Amino acid sequence: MCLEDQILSSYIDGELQEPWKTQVEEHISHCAECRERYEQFTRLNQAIHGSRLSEKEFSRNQQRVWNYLEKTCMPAQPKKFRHRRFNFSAPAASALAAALVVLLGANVFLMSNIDTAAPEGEQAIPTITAEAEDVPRFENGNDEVIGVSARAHQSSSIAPQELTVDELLFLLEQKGFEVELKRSDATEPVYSGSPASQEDSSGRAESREIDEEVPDTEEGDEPAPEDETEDGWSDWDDE
Amino acid sequence: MEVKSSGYESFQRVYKEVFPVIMRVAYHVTYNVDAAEDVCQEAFIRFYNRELTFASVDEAKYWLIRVAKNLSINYVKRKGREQAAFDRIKRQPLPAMKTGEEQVLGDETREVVQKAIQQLPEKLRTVLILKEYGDLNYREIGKILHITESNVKVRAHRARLQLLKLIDQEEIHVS
Repeated sequence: MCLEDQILSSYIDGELQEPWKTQVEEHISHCAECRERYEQFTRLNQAIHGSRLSEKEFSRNQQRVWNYLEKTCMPAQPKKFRHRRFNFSAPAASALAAALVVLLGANVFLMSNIDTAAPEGEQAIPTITAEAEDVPRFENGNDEVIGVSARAHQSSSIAPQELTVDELLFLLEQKGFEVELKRSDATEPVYSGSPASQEDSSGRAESREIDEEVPDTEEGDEPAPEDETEDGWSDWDDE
Repeated sequence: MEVKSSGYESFQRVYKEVFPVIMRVAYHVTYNVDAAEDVCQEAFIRFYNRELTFASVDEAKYWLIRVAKNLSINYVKRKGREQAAFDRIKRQPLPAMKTGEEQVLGDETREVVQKAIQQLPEKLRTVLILKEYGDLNYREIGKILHITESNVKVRAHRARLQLLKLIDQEEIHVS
């Protein structure tokens, strides 16, 4: 045998420096015996690598250990570390952050619009109307109900004709609709019910949405795209 | 860049980069995923609690690999698994490795390789595992094990020679 096994081993490990590296390559190309020995080592290496624990096989362990460490070692951290995978590129991350900001802005704008426009909301919100003949009489017989009018959201599928007035009022109020019962000859409504919580709930909705949006936006910004792509965090589950 | 083992940001960074390495090393020493997970957890707890400062992430990595390697070897010794596995293998001849299956190894072949590696003396086995599963070069392995680079080179080579003897040589020869 012309080449020492030790030299071949170092060559396979990528640890052989020039000019020996080139010399080994040239020798292997024309010496069948050394080539056979080299291929034997190579096959062994393939077998060793083939039994390697893949990232897929331990990604759960990686996450579980992190969860444990985060809980036990660093309980007082100001911000939560997330086990999300951020696969988007740097431009995509900026675009996402920008989109979130725009959405948030639009949301706040729309919310304030609805609040101020509420008194004249009839123009924007469709009306459901049913004739009194189709509706059972209101319990208080003195007030003759001739129609039920509800300002409702477009998506509403309630058919007023199929319900008693009580059920209708209950359902509509449950869903947050404003309900108004009118006599045909009266200008003042016989019954005017708007869920007491409506304004509050819309207020809450707004603040809640803001609460949710802001961290989202921070999340989008926070994992600095360079970090996420450079440090290979996104490769957790890959392969 | 200095790395503080108890700093949240640097700990997080080291964890992301080093966990896969020490998980592989621990697994290929113990050949038990649960044990390897415990080893990793213990290694990182020590890393965090010691409040160490390293010159670079690589230095932190070497420290963690050393701790994980030692914990794994202790685990194997404690459980007496090394001896148990050795006895088992002695009773059963290793199945032959078929040519052409090297690229996608079946469970059987994987087991053959694992059992053969388990039979290596600790000194050779550690170098081979750090080289092949820890993706480290001779210099790094020498640093972790506190041995010279040429010593690493010799051990890596001897580990290969012994593996060739342990795994059915005739079958590996066939091309």
